[in-house]
Amino acid sequence: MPLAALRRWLIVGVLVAVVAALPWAVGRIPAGSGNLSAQDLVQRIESSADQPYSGYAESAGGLILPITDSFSEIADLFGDRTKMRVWYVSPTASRVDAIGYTGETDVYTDAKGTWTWDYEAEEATRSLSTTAAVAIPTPADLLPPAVARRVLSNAAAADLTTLPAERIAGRSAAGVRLTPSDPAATVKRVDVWADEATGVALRVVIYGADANSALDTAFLDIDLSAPDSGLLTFAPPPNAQVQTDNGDLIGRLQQRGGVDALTLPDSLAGFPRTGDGGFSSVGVYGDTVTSFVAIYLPNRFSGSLRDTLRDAPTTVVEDVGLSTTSGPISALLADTGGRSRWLLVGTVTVETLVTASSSLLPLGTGR
Amino acid sequence: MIAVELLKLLRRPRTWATILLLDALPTLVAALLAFTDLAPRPGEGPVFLSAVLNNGSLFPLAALAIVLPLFLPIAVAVVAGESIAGEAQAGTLRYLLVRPVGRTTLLVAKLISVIVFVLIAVVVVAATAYVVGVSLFGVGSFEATTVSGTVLTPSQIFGRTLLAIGYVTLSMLGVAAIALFLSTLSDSPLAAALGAMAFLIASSLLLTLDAANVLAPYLPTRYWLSFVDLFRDPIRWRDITRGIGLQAVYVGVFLTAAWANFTSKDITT
Repeated sequence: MPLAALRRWLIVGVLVAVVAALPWAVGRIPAGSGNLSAQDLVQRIESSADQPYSGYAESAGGLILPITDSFSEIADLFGDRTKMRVWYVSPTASRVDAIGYTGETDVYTDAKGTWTWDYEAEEATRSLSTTAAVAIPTPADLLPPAVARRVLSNAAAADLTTLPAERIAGRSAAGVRLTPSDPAATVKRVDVWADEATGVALRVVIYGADANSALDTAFLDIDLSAPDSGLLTFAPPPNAQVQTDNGDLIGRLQQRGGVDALTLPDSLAGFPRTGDGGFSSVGVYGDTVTSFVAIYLPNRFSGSLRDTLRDAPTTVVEDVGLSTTSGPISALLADTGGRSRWLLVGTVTVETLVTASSSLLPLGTGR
Repeated sequence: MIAVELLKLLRRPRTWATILLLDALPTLVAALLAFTDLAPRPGEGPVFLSAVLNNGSLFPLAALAIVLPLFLPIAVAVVAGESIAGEAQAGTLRYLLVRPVGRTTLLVAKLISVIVFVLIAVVVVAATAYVVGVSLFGVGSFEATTVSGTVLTPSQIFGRTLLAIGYVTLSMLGVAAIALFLSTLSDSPLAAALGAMAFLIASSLLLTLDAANVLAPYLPTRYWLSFVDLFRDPIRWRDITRGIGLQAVYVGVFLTAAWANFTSKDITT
């Protein structure tokens, strides 16, 4: 090959190398030193709820959840990639858009509740605030700050270690690792990186027993200044269907069948009851990342869930019903064919759920 | 040189036949919608097609979404693939280079004529779709709802449609550069066009695989449909700027490769 031609192709080679190496080089910009201790960083993350921000985040879920068609959106959230634009001022003033190629679902939160705009359904839904501790997860629950505050709340100091700082969304982020020590825990570790100055979590990765992450959520762009308040208000467009919804999981279950007053135990399988969401038929047991919820199921709903579970390849038949696991999530539909049916779901072992169900099955009214 | 290439492009019946064929599909879709009154729901079918029954002025966007994934890139690959290889196959390349113009200038002139072709094709498709859309569906209240549920005024619809036309045009530059490079490698325009299409099909396929996520930001079709982001509120510039940047990289790399090959090549035909 003549020298001139060789020189020309060399220019092409250098250009390709520069272009290919550019993203890699940007990723190698060193992060800060991360001087905060693990406990101090966790404290800063927990007190960051009023720090405004806006940006773009993506979450990738690795869970395959056997859920009935009525709640397929939950399976999508935890088993798929969710792309989110967010504008956040405070817990009662925010907007999260879950975007797709051909549409988006936006949730505006204000002091009275939420507006949900679903472009694909041409539907605007007003939900008034509930105090429910158990609610249908939404994309907003997958944002790194929300996940970090949830998993790190009440974390024991002994379970926390410092991670090296990383650059995330163009910012230097200090890291902390939570390694739950409870033998019943199915979450083996949670890695969190947060903006050192404000405590806004920028990335959270949750691992179960295997090496693949069960959930990886991170900002790709973030701006820590207050967003324009005009972006946080919503008015339904003309021609859209407008409806109201009570928005909480128990409300949806109640619509499907009657739930009578029940008295749940103060502790199950050694886990104290930490919430009920205002419903006697619901119990939240444990806290931080090692917890589970017990829900009494009306007749109609438990039947369809049992059928779905029975068809799932990971389902195991237990003495007290059907159990399944996906990553760190365990679920048990406790149903001995009698009058009482309970759904237990959480980040604890199936054995723990089976033990807990033995105290629940004698309860219930059989409606 | 550029003017000569542009005149050649505009005088060629094939150019207009290609644009006419590009126009035919959206027009057929509009006629079927008007005849049956059956529009897909939002989020189903091509973007914005659901809204055209209420506002025909949105049909240019739906028309772009109809031609963008396949027909427009095929047309661009055919025109760009023919640019050098077509001259070689017809035996005119040697005579073309006898003129006192450099090979680099010829390459740039060919690329510019392909860009002009893309712009004409996109504008003609959009303009025809506007006329067809407004004639068949009317314009309703003259307003349209964005993907985010806010309302756009007619001037906002017009402005954002112009931006979408510009973005779709830029999105085709990568295909044009790839086909132009292949056109310098082969004497067969068909081989160059099919090579470029193979590249695009591979890109579209890889985008559907989670395992190929690491490659996604480099794939030429990655940001093609991001013109939808112009119709969110506020406009989402993130993918649009990345899409433009990616096309610039493809043009830079493949045009340089085309230059390296074409200026070093023995021209025998």
